[in-house]
Amino acid sequence: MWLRLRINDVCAIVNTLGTLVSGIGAAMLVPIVVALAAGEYRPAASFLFSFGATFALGSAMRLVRPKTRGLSRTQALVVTGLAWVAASLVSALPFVVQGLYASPFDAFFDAVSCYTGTGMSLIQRLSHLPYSFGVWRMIMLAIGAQGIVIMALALGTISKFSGAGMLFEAEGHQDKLMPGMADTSRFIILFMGSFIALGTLVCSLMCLALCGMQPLRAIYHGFSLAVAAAATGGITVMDVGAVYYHQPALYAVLICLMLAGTFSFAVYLRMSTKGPRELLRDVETRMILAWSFVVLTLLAVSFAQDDVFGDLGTFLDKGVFNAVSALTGTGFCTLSSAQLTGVASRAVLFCFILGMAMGGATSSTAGGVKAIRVVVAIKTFVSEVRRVLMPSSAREVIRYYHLGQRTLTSELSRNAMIVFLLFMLTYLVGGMAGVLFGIDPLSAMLESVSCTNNCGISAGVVSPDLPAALKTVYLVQMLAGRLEFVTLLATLASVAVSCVRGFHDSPVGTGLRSMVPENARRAWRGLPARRGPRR
Amino acid sequence: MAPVDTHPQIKKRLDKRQRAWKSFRDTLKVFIRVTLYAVGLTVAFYLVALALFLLAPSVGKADEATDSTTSQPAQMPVYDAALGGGSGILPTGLSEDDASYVSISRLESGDASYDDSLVSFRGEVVGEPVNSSSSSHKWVLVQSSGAHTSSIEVLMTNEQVAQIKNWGSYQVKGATVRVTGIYRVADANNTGTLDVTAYVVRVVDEGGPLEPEPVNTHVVVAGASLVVLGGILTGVNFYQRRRSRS
Repeated sequence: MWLRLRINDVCAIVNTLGTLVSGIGAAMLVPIVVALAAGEYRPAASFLFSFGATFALGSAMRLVRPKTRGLSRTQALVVTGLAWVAASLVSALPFVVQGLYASPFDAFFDAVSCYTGTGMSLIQRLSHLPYSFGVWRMIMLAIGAQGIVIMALALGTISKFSGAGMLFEAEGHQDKLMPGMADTSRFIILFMGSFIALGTLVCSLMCLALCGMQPLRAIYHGFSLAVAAAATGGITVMDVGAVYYHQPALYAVLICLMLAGTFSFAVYLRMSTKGPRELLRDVETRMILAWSFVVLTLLAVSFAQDDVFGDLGTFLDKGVFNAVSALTGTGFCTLSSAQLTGVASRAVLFCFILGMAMGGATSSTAGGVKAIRVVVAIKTFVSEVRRVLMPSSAREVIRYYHLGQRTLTSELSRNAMIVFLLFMLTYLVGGMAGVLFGIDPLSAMLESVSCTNNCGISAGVVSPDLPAALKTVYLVQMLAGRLEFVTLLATLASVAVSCVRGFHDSPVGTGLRSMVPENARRAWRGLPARRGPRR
Repeated sequence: MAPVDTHPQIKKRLDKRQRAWKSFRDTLKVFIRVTLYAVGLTVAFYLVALALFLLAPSVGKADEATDSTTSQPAQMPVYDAALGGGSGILPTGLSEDDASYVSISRLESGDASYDDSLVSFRGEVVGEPVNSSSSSHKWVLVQSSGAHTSSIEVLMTNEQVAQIKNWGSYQVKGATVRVTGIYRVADANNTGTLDVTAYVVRVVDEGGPLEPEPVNTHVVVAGASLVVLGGILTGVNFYQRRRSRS
């Protein structure tokens, strides 16, 4: 039986969403200040309008008051699922008002891409984008990388009594790092904020000294690069992407930031009490490093056998940077899409798909299947094989080290396997959708894996000319990958069932189903028609 | 009288401060450790990659490389930094008229038929000149105009760059240049970048600041009204909450 929402659930959901929407509105004050400081008056007006609309909408939504305090699990799941859509919708508003996209849907696509940290973009003439819009894209990326709920908790937008724990879990953060949710959120924000600050300083200095940029431009580029790398989002402020900078030293700094963003914050926190070895002791970190070694080996062989990119300098400059970008789910790419699909060998493209396929660690800014699920899947598989060979009376306990010694339970295995399979299925479905629209299979697969894992490396398929149906497929993939399926599916199911059948406690005949005559419904189910009034 | 720091409230406050300071120190300690780890891992990645590349088998590559050199066009000009300099000197036996005039989108798509050949194209310079590995050259991003833009990286000499006065950005139209140079889908001299090494750069249009975009007063008024509305609604919400609490 599908659980239908109650009217009180809807009130709680609308109220919490209103708080989140107001928070997004408050974040728009930053680009307003940037726009005024840079003398960008028309963008400032666009942001003012969007801030006003978001603030008014959020305030109106907050007037809807539920009878109960706190959020239930169902409510938290629906709130989280809808929060990402609502945040993307309101964040796309300034772009629509400014008229930067061919259609509002394209603006929404880009907002989803920013929040999920995918980094695929439909925007044209990025180099002519006002600074305020460039900063706004980075703010969206930073908020999305930590999680909208985490950000709201840390800044006190959501009270810690209003079911914060449920929201925290629903957003895919399984590890409660500190006793309080707000403390945990603050640690994550402080930690990432410090990385972004340090990254901005180093990248700005490099842009200034190595690239030869003007001081203000260097700060703008440095900030964008640091946010995009630490948040593993891969968004750049120039049309050609990271290749614009041409500085191997800058790429090495970006690799540092990408790696810092891809490992688990929970492990970082444990390092303060358990010592620095904790990071390398963790099975998730080991899995990421092992996978990196596999991908780098394959890539080294592919580059060595490539006629065009087959020299050491090119491999160290292009190969390593792009491989780390794919492995961490960042999406920076110093190879153009034409080079990726037409000039480099297919083996190189395949290596990037493999690199993207796993993703980072749990409680990190990276998306994807997550390394711990792959570990659990491998351990489950090995234990199954071993069980077949053991006597039937034997029982095996499988342990692994992830934030302390843990035992592999059947529930943990099942959960990991379900998400793992859903990811694989989504890769295939997205790839098939691309092929249906006439895209080369390997490029379609690259695009599909890139969207689902929120990576952003593209074969040049995502462009404003892309059919709306395929854009929608990629959009759903981005959201599904970020919310790790369960939250999105639960949201869709709750909303759909409640819309079709009506709310649990609403009067009979309010759902969409009631619009269809009862006998027609009975005929659909193969039942005989009912005669006379229903008793 | 009890000492000041034993007063319960002050003690509590001091404890809170101490805890906050300890938490900050711990975070800083972790931050430094993670930074060191990240740097170490980056170095390790490069070293492992270097070792892997040196150990990787390059089966049949040597033969193919020989084949590819023989199949290259006879007139392929060799890049020589000394030939640039904005002097308009082209490789031996070539003039600007020999260049194929192509669109930037064609070049961006990695069209192999133009690889290693003399091309000419026109576009707007955007961003800023970026230093290259050679002190005499800079990277310049040239972009096509229109709704769907394409871009290409061009390696120009400092003298060629000096001709350009305006660089495209918000509210600034960059100089429109006509570039004649050697197009490479993967430039071996520049770690495989898809680029054009410019020989002749002519500024067709200087560009310059654009007319400021007019601010739509309706948008400003509507925005301000919505802010006021949002403020009123927040006030109502606050009032309702206080009433329900009392």
